[in-house]
Amino acid sequence: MNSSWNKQIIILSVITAFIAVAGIISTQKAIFGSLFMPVIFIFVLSYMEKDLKLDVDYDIPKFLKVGDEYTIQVKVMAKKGLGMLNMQFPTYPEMNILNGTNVHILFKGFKEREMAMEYTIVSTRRGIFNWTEIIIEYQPLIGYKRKKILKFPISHNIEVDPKVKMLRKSQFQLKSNRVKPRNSVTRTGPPTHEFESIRDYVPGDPFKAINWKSSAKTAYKDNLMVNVYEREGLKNFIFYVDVSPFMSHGSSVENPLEYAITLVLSGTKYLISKNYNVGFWPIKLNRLKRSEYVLPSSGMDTFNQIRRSLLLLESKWVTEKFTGIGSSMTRIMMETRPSVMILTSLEKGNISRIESISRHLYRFKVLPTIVDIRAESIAAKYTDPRLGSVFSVRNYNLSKNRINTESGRVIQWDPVNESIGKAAYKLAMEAGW
Amino acid sequence: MKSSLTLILAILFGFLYVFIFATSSSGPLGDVFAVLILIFSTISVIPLFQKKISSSKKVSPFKFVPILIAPISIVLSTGYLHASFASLGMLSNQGAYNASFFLAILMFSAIGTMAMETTKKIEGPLESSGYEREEIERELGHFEKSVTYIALASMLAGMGIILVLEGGPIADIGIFPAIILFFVVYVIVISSVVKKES
Repeated sequence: MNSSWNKQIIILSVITAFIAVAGIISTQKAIFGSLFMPVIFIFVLSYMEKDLKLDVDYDIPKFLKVGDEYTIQVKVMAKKGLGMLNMQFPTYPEMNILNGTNVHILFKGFKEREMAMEYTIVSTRRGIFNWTEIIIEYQPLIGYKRKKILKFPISHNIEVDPKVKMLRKSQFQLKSNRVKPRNSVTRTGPPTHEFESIRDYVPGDPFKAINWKSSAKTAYKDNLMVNVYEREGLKNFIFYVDVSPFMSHGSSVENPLEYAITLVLSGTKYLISKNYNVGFWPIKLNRLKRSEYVLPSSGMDTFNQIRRSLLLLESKWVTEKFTGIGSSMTRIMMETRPSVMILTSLEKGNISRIESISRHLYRFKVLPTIVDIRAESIAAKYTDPRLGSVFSVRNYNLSKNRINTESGRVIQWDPVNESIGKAAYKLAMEAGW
Repeated sequence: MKSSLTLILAILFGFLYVFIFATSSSGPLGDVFAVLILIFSTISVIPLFQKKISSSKKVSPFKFVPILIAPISIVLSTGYLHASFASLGMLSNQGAYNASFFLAILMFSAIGTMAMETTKKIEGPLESSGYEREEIERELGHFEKSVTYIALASMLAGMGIILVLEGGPIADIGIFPAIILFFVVYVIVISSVVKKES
């Protein structure tokens, strides 16, 4: 707007000069008089455009869930100045605008202007995102090349939580057809009366656990012996999530990884309600940061830790060969022998790696449940929505992706055609929830 | 825009006024100039009514031509050139005087056309960029109105100054000091307009 309008103003100024010259040649006083009009016009415009004062008030969320709608409200008050305000209000990646628009114009005329604007957004993907700045471009009514860009940064990020499906206990009343590991117990539960072993006394052991007879027999060792009883602990469950690029087939908002994240959170909430200790690890071969995995524990703190770790989970190429599951997970495997669920999307490129991991876990007598989240129907859905049901697990030949069944129990899940409730039902049967 | 009709009337009013005052006391060649003013003024408003062509072309190259023709006709009918070439028989002195007086109205009309052109040119790109139609119309209407009011106030003030100068005592400062004074004022105003980006 400014360039076209200002070009015309400049041409008008040049014509004014032409008229002035014509006035001199014609010796007409009135023709000089007519010059006052454009001169006053340009002077008034250039005088009034100065000293724009803006107040911006906004209500922008810090937390949302995927699929939640939120109406953002922004109020702009303009004082002084004369010109067009071209405003762009904040957005972030992976969101859609449902109602209204985040771009507005406002003409600041003679009077003060106040304008309240709103637009409704919906988050399409979980994550922690930066809001873009509020950008207001002030184009004075006159003044070539004097466009001003005012920026109002948003002081906080937005955390978009994944969807969590509330799984009810009544969904899993059927008895599991698998034998659950008896000793997948925590170290911190109260001791039972079941004798497990005998060992040297260490400070902190209760006196009633001292085995006096055994201590007398081994008096030469100069140390007391104590009985160790099995602990009435909580069961441990670990979600182990593949983050290879095979998990990102589909779109950025709908792919096996996103479905895996929803399943992990829903499962965590359910298992914690059943007094499980729940842990989470991403399948990464490089060294993990402490914030990337969660040691098995119970309570809402654990749920929130897993939620935070999942927020930043992204698929990534891994080129190194599998050498082990890492020290922290190894220790958990050795001490508690937890139930493990591997969430992956089996393809030629990652099948050998998943097999290696499964075999490695088997060394600790842990037989993982492998949830194979099929991407065919997701990808087909984006080609043509009708193809989503054609490429269901039933119709698609999955023999090429068969994993050695000795390494783990494979459950296939077609998320387009099977709800998370149905998947959870199968998992309850197979994984012993 | 609600103010569009007001602006169009103002434009035609301005051009027709010049036409009437020019012909009332002019010779045949003066009539030709007046007809030219009318033709170009009409052509200059045509792009404002064209909806099908792309918005970037909605600018008339002719809108300033009537303003240029008016002083040319006045120069040829009066002043030094007229004295040098004797009587050319275009406009009478009174006709030239009236025409120059209403040059201010002609400029008001041109400014109105400019404001309308600007709104017509930018409303298309704004709409395709996701701005709401109602908001575009409302805010560009504010823009048109504000420009029209400022131009109208400037025109009335300019005419008031002309009447004061005509009716009041004449300051006998001579032609050269008057020219210098004019250019000093002109340079101050123009320099405030064409400022570099701060």
